[in-house]
Amino acid sequence: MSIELKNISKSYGPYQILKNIDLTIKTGELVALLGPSGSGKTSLLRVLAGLEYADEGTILFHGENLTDAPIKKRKAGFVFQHYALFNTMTIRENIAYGLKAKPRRDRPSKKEIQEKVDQLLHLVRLEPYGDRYPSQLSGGQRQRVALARALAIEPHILLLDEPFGALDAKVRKELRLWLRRLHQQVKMTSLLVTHDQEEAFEVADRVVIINKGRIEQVGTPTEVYENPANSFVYDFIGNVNQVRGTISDGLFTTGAFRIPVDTAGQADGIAFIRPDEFTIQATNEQAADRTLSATVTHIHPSGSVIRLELERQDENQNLEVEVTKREFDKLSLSKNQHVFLEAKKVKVFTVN
Amino acid sequence: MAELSLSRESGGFVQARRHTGNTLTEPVWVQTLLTLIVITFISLFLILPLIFIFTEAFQSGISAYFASISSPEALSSIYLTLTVLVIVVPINTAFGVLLAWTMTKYRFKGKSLIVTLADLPFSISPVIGGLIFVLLFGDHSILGRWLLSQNIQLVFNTTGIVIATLFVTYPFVARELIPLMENQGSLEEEASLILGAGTLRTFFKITLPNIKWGLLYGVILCSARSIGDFGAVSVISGHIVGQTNTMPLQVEAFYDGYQMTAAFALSSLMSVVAIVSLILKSYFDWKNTRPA
Repeated sequence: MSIELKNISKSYGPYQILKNIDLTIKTGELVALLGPSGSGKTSLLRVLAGLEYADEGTILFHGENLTDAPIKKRKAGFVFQHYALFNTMTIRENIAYGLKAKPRRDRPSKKEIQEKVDQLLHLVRLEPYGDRYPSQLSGGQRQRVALARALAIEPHILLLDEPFGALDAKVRKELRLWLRRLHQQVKMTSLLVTHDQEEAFEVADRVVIINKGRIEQVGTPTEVYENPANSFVYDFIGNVNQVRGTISDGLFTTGAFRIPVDTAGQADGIAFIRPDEFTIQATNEQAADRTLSATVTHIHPSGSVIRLELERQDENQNLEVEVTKREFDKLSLSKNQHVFLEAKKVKVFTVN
Repeated sequence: MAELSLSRESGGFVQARRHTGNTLTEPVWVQTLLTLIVITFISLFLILPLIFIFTEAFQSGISAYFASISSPEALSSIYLTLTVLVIVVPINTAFGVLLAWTMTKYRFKGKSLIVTLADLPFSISPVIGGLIFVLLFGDHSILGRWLLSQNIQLVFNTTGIVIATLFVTYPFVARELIPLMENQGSLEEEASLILGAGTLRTFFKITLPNIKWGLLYGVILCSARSIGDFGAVSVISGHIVGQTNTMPLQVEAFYDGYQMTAAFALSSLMSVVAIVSLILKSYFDWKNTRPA
């Protein structure tokens, strides 16, 4: 089941939370909607589920126009951040709820429902917990029940609203991998909302970056990471150094550092350089205009990657650099040492 | 270094102990005195009168007690009170659920104003509540005169008493439910709708089980008030003995006629109802606040 969103807009009073959203999700694809809080990503999901209606635009499920269709007709499975399990029912009753709610002619027999619940309990690895109540389970277990409950009605699409947001880091990581594998098994068209870029990149086939109700970029995790479309995406999807400077006659300049850019004319610019895209040199052998001279102010020697904090010598700015343990040992760096940073990859955007 | 961290630790320990000691600073004699004042007050104003009611009621013996509560006037008042109860409580339960549902599950302008207005019967004197309806439905107003010309009598009869009692008791259920439902939010309802359940199924399978104990608590309070209200009913009933006297009104009528045993016997009956509802209320409250 493919999903097509055309020109979706929505406002709450004076606040426009979705602005002309166009998006196509292919059958069997797992797409992550990634954005900061308040970006409109959850609203988009709720509009898709039919919990809210768009002011403008069209929603097509496999070519069928369901823009104004009631919730039931959309056959969407929804997983909430805070599980929304039925607290007065056991786990089995929770999972069976959607099947029992079907109109009499479509409703499976009691025995079929039992079998289906058994299957789903097996799928989410919660067989021993069927007769417990939600309050007797941990957060991760509850979210797996919520997923089983959503899958019970064999939905056409699966919508997940920050499904791991309320869980602790370790459980979150486990469930993420588990969801990835589950999706490979059932191949259901799925849309996952998250504000955690690591989660989006790890789980999704494609990532949609959304900000202030607008789509900023759509692409595979590699595409988005390698080629962020604009400064917002660059800043949002990872730790990055931002170096301010000026653009003039096709050159971006900050202190002694200058590199050619495509932009013509005069403008202020920001150069984005990721911490792992520097080479550290003790002496300035390379062309001086590609390097920043800096002093090591702090060393975080944890794990296989060493994080360094440095201060630029020409301007008052802190930089963050990551080097491998091997490289670090080879350079035998120490605090207060003066080094040269060569930027291997720089992306410059003009400041509006 | 080790010594330093040790001393900091012991410092923290002393601080923690002093902190727990500090939460109740009053000397023991002050605590005892305050507790005694509370106990004395409750005994004087609640327990003593309750004992007094029962001793007075049974003063002339058990047979006199049963004779006085089975007098035609007493029986008629009990019958009327129960009639009003079985009409008022279901209506106000349904309306209270509706009010709470609307106030917590929908968003609209002027909502807080309605929530405030819903509490009006608590802040207004019941006498005024009764008077409003006498003025509205009696021959003082255009509406009242028109109703009378159509032969519709809404004051000085059971209908009037029901209306006045409805007014006095409608906020009880909603007041219990609104904070409860606000706290629960609409997530479970949304989940139910997405799973394909209709509105009715969602209400009976999801909402109702979640608010069950709070609802029963509200119903008990509503019933107790419906049985016991004096002010509004007193104004609108017209005090016709054997016809429009509810139990509290009949107690007053007995008292005014110097029939002390009868007055106290009927009072004792109402006290039993009050005590039973208090016990039920505490039970439901306990059920309600206990995690599922």
